[in-house]
Amino acid sequence: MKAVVVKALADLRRRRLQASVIFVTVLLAVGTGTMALTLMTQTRDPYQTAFEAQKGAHLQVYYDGGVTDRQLLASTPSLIGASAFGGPYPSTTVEFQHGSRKFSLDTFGRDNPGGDVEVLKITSGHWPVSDGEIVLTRSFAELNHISVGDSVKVVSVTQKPVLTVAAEVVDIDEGSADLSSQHTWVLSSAIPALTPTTPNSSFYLMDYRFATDPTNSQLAGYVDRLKASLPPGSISGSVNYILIRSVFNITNQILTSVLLAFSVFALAATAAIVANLVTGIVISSYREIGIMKAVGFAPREVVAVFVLQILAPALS
Amino acid sequence: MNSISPNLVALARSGLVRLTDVTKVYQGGITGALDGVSITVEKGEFTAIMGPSGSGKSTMLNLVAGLDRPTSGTIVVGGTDLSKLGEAGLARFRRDHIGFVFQFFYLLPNLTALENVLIPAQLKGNMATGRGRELLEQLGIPDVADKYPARLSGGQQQRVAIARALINNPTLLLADEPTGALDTHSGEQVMELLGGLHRGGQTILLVTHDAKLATRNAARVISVMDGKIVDDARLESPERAPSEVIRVRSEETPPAGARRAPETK
Repeated sequence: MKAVVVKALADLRRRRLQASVIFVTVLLAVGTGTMALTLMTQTRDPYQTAFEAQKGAHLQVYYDGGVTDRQLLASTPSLIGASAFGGPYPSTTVEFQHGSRKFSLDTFGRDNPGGDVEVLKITSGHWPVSDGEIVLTRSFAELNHISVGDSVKVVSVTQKPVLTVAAEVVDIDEGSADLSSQHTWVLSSAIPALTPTTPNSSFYLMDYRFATDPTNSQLAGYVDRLKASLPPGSISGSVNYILIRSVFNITNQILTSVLLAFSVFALAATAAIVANLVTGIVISSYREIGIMKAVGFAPREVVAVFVLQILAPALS
Repeated sequence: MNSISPNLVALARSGLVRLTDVTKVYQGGITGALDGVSITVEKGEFTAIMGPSGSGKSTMLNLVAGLDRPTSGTIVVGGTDLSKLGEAGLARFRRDHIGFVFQFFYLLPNLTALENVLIPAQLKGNMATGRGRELLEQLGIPDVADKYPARLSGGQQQRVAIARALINNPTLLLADEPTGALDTHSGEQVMELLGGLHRGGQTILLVTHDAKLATRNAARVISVMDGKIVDDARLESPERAPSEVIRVRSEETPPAGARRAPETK
């Protein structure tokens, strides 16, 4: 063993450039891999973390405002055994114009961002204090370059009121603006003026939260139970947290996949560089290998000399 | 073998090195490098193998060292049948029994002279630093111990190579054209060293194409041509028959004047 170590170290001293290349390459690859793994670990299920913090809704159900009313909807949480609920929030679909661009968004009447379900996290501005103010999601505002203090014009009603953006919020119960439609909020008292007079333009949103995370089939069962208990046509749509989570995770999956791919590329590049170096060293050492065998090195001791030359800088 | 073997008598009778009907054909080769060679080298002999380039003499040395394997035939060295050893066994055999001196020295360039000398001993698990320095001193180069081969003259490098070959007290010292890359003076010094080792009891198998050097020191000269032994002469006095041996290189028939060794099998 002593002979192997002596020979390997002597060769390393004479092959400083190759040793340095191996050292730097392995260092960079290990650094990339560590960074990727760290990020992957840290970003594992960030949705769940935010969902708990903001008391996300397991189930959001949209009710037709022409068929249901607040009193009827107040009984729905007990119908499906929800542990907490938010709403009913009066809603309508509103078309806005900002500059030359128009947007069609669901607008909800809500008097505060808190509550037992779907807490809206304000990232800038303040919750509306008058009917002339509106709240956007941060995702939508950033995507469309709209800031707090900007004005948007409602073009879906005859009066065409102008609203001021009062706040940007983060809502855990909807996907990002580039992947899904977005919600906006005004005071409940502002909804009637924003609701068109056409039929089927008024609805309510109810948020439900359960003691434990329900499965997809359980959620479908809850919706069926609501449909069976309420007048026909009451429910115009529903969204559950599993769908939102999958939309939310698309971005993360892309990010982690890219990181993983970079790590694999880095490792593959390292392996290729080291293999290239080893091949070069071995080819240039054919004569030495013959000498080593002649003076008594066993084949595995010859291999050990080269392995040690690679491992020493790689592990240091 | 370094110590007295209980089979010493038997070995002496059967020869330290015994090649029996050894043939070597290199891959893709049409003609063989060795063609049915049978020789026996006794313990303590200084035997020179002579022949022109490509005659098969170096092949014979490589086979005896276990660096290559014969196509057919058996090679027994110190009672060990080399065909029965694997690669690791051959490596152990070389480090325990063989010292090898090459024409171009073949020192490991990244090791100092002393480190080169010590490598075979370290492979056996011995440190032997003292013996390494002692050998360098005996060979007249004590001051080169810490120098790298590139800073040594050819003669110094060959002495270091001889010290490396001797560090494990080998049973058999193989020398392949040890003076081929040296000037006349250095070559003579190296041959004197080998002669001295022989007088001390070392068995030496020397490959050379220089008849003068061979006959001056070796007591036996085996001439090889086209892979076959064409002459095997035991010289009572090294000074007696150089011209006859030299003739082997250019003549088809073996020289008549040299006293033929008995056929050994």
